[in-house]
Amino acid sequence: MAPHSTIPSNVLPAALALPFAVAALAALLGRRLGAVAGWIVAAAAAGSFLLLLDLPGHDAVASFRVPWLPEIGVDFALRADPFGRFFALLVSGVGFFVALYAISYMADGDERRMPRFWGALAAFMGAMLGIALSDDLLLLFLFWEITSLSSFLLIGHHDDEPAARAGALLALQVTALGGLVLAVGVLLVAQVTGTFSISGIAGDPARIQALLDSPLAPGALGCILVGVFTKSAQFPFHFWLPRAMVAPTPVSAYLHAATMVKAGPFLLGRMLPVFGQLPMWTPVLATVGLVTMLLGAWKAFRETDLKAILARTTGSTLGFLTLLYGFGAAEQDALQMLNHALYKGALFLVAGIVDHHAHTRDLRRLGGLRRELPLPFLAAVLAGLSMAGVPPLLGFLVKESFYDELLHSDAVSGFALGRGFVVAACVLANVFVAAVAAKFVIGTFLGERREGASRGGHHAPHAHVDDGARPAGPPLWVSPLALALGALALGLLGATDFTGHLAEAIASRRSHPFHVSLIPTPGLPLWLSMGGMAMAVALYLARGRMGRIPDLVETHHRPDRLWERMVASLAVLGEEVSMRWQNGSLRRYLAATLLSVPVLAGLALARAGLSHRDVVVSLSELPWFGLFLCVLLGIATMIAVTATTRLQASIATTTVGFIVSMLFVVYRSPDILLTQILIETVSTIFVLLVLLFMPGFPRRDMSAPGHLGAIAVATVFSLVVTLLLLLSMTPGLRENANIAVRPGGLLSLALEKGGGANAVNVIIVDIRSLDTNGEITVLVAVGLCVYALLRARRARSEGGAGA
Amino acid sequence: MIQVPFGTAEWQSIAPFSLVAIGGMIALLWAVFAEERPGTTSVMWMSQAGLAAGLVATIALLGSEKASFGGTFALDGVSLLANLVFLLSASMTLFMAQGHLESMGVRAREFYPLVLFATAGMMIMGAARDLVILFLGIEVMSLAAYVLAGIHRRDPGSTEAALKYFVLGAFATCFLLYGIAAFYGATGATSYDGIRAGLASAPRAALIGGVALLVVALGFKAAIVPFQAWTPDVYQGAPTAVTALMSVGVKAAAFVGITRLFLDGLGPLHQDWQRIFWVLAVLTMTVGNVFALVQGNVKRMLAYSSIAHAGYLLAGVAVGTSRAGGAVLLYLFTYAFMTLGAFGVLIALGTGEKPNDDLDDLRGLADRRPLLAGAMTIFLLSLTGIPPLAGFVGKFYVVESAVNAGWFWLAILLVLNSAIAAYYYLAVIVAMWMRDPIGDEPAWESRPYLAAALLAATVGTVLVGLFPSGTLDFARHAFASIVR
Amino acid sequence: MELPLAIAIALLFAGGAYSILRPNFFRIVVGFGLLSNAVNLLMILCGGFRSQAAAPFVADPHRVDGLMDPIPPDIILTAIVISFAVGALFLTLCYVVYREYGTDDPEALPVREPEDWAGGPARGAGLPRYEE
Repeated sequence: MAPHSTIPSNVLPAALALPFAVAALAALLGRRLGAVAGWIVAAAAAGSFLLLLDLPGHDAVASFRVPWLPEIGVDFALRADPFGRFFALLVSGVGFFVALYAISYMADGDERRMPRFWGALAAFMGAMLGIALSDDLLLLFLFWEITSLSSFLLIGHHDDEPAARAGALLALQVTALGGLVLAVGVLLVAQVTGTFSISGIAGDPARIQALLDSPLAPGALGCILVGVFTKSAQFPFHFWLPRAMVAPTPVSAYLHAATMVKAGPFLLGRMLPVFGQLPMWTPVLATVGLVTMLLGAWKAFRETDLKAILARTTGSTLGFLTLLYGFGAAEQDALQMLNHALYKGALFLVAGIVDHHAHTRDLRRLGGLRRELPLPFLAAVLAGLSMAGVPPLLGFLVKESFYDELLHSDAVSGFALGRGFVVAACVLANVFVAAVAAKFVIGTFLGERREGASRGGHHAPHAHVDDGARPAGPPLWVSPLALALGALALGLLGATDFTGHLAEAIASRRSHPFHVSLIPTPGLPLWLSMGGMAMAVALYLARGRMGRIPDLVETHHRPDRLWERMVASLAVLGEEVSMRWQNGSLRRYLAATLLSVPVLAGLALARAGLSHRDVVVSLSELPWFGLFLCVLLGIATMIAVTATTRLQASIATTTVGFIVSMLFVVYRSPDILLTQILIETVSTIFVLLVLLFMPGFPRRDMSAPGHLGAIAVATVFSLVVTLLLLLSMTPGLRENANIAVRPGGLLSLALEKGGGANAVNVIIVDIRSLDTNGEITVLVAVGLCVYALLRARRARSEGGAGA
Repeated sequence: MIQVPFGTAEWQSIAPFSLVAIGGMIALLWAVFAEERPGTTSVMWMSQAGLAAGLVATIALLGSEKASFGGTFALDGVSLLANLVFLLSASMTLFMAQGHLESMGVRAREFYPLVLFATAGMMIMGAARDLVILFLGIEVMSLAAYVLAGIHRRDPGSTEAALKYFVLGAFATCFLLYGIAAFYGATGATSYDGIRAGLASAPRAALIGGVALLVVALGFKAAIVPFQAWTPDVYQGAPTAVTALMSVGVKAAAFVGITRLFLDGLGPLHQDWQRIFWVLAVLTMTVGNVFALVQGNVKRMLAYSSIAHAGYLLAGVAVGTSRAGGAVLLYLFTYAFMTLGAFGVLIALGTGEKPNDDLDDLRGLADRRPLLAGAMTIFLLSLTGIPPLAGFVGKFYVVESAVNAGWFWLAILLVLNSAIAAYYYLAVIVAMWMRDPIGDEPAWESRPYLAAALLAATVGTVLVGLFPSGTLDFARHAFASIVR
Repeated sequence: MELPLAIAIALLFAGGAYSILRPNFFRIVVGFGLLSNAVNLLMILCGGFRSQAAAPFVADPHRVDGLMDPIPPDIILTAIVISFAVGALFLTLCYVVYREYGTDDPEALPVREPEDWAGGPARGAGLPRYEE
């Protein structure tokens, strides 16, 4: 990346802000904007595209940087290096065509939802541009989360359908969770390298080395990969993508084919220079990529719903991209992405047209539409050929060069499963994908027109779309045809140097030149390609027989259902436990607390390695009347607890207070005696006053098990807490450690400065005056509260008497 | 008499909370004895004046760093920033309550001064560097809060909330006293400086026991599992304005108290308490989030979510670095805006007859009251931790400090919990925007004060989210001086 | 360590805990009274109270050793005053509750059915609603 010089550019933030501004506009103006909203979004996409296209070219990189969170070194940093710029152009370019398509496609949609649709679509586009252009990991994460959120709104567009809500929620759960884990990975990377700047890390070998040497590196990469795999629907998070097909078709084309799911591979491209040398990079990515690729290809072949087919093959292609990065073959990543965006976007849009026209997407009920939909048919043929990798489409060039890479890359031979296995798996996946492409195009457009297909389709809201004049927007076929022609043009240009140069210019890495040409060079790649094609034809012809083979993969335990069941069981758990724990019974809460204290204390003690044997007990210091008082105290406590009348109980409690204050006398603290006696007296009077108005004790207040339970809880609590406190008493310390009794401590301070001989009083009034202030505040507040509480009754009873 | 301990520093350090407390007393006297004047507006403005006086004092003191009362009462960045949180949330609570209580038939004018008392208590807690002073602060705050929870006396829910809060709260503060006793026995001091000095020679058993007891006491106030049981019932039962104050102010005060106590006073013991906090933090956030999943009442859901947030905050405390302390403080700041806002929206939904705070009542709100639904969406997204809103900033710095200190798994668990949380917050957003309303539109009243408070909360949530730099910087520096 | 005192404290703990678990306001008040007395006794145990020490009346500022530590009494006084305030407020509250609702059992307030506590009226609205 180093050869580029960097020039500051304000075009980048402008290109980024444009879609967000439009999103805000669409959200704020809402329905007043009407059908114009779509045109504005398309214009914003075109605007961003042109702004980015106009950036300085090959030898300089536009960038923009303002500090955002300087404390931790996060900048609002944008950077349009060739790869990022390519991705941004892809996002805005496809975005333009999708918006154009959606104007017509959604024209009959519920008006109430349209502001949300356009707002979310524009915000999504902005966030994708943000991912493409961010030069700061944290900023990238931020945009990453915005794409998850806006895709939730887009997938759940038909919010009156439970399936749409469930699909949207599933997608959000998986991708948002992954995004959050990604954030941890980002933080770990920043922690080790000391910067959030992507170019700052990738362009600095010392930092990369530090990262690779760090023990945190596998954790960081693991977290980032969770983010990548969830976003791009890689195994084992692949299951949300087919369910997200409840989205309106333009959304599926844009999010789930052209852009959002590619954010994962895009981030891999960003991370390849950083983590590429980590030992776990190749095995993890290659394995996940292989599994996803094969699983998607197999599943796609079994599906009959047009969009489900496309979703499954998308998963397959994304696995293929992951595999590519796993082997460090980044020289052709951009071309692969471009190719997939063009043909898959086109096919999705065609599927939408078919759906509108025939009111079904089920291949078993489709056929023979070529006459009714000639231009979509053309687009589908071109895109299908590119998907199958047939010359002269771009798909052919891309497949050739990939086989070439597989056969020559050192990383492949280093992979545990061996080169032969990988090549075979890729060819197999391609065979299936090509057969699926044939199934899609032939099954929809060729053969006989099947009657009944156009009646009672499951997309009732769109039923009248073709009946009348379309109110706004270009014909639906414009966008898919444009994308498919793009694939054709790039394929044909492969006869010259153009496509090769383009691929080189937009790739994330340019370490060695690679071969992209329409003119085939005889060699193993070509034979693999030819052989694959033949096998695909055979597979397509044998599709009926293949269909009878039982599908053993993910039929009984569909992972999306497992996930949902997992989430639901979490809720059931929450409900069951909270019903029992939080049942509203104060007594139960108290009992739970009383028991949790011994548990906590017991754990703490066990950690400190202490038990009851460590308690040091002596009888030495207590005089005989002290002992006597203790016995009395015990008796008074028992009476207070077991009292059957309120008077008994209150007298016993007061007695306990008095005995405690007598004990203070034993222990030479006469001040407390006076205060306590005063307070006990006041509170006894207060209690008796209140008792005048309150009923006596009920005869039987609790059931026998309740009593026993309470006694048990109280006993456990008391034993453990007493043990804890006894252990806390420190025999040796009390003699000398107290600050106050040291010479020069509080005591002598009291005498010198306070001029009072009673140290406790001096300390209370002067030295710890803050406590005393606090007490006064408490007393005043309580007094006024009590007054207010009682006054309210008077006011009310007076008012009641008047009424 | 002696002058030694009472100089400028002392006056300055007690000025903010004293002004608020005095303002509260004046307002209470006015409320109680000037009964012939109808309405509550005068009491409300009087109380606001008390808060404003405290705010002016706090702002005037910003930047000063002094020890007073022999180092037992702090005047530093932490206490001042905490004061800002307390005062702002109290002030917004007062505005939000205006009209809300009357419409429910509560004519208790002591509400406003009681909020001031509670605030004064919080401010004492935020500055306390002595266990006894912390105890006093908790009591001042809690006693007022108990009465506040039961202010709607004719509503059994409110009364029950007050009783539960009272019994469990009083019970919890007993443990604070036990803890003080244990620490005093072990170190011969109650001030944080004295405790720090005595830690070296103190026996381990006493310290561990003391830590356990203090965790119980403070965990109650902060609603940490397993001491959270009261939270949902009390939050749901209390009038919503009081709930807002409890979930923001009381929780913030508890956390400032916890952070100061454990990071400062018991900092050298971090080996002993970090593990406890680690486990409790994970437990708290998980229980809060999983229980919140199944709530059909938004107020109760927010109560559980506040438990989850306590878990995130506790995670910050568990990390224990000064970076984490700053993150906790920043989190409290961001949490105040979005939580007050969310409860404010619930207040706005209530009418005299019905609180309208079930999830079903919020269905289709976007059609009926788009601005209110928009504000609620911002608060909920922020609570979820979606960038670039305030809640993200708070959560992000806690995670960042955890990663920075090498607490990888804590960060991961926190993140997974946020993902669960997204579920129930989004359920409310989905209900508001994607579902059709049930029943007739309630007869909502317009409440200008409430609207102003909601606007302020929205602006705060967005602005702190976009530009967290200044606040974070302040919070970081505040903690750098007290964590050693 | 004085064993009799320790036993007395344990009794106070147990009695207090048992009392607050009973379904009667006044019992709960008694329980809190016992628990706060336990605090005070505890302070004696850990505050260096010694029956041989002199009360902390200071005559000569340079001869303070052998005197009582004055801080624990100070803390106890604070605790006593606060627990009085808390108790008074609690009693008032109980009285108000009894007056309004005629019950002295904290569990018996006419609030709602226990099962409502778990999820409110529309229980489980968060999740199962998406299962549809």
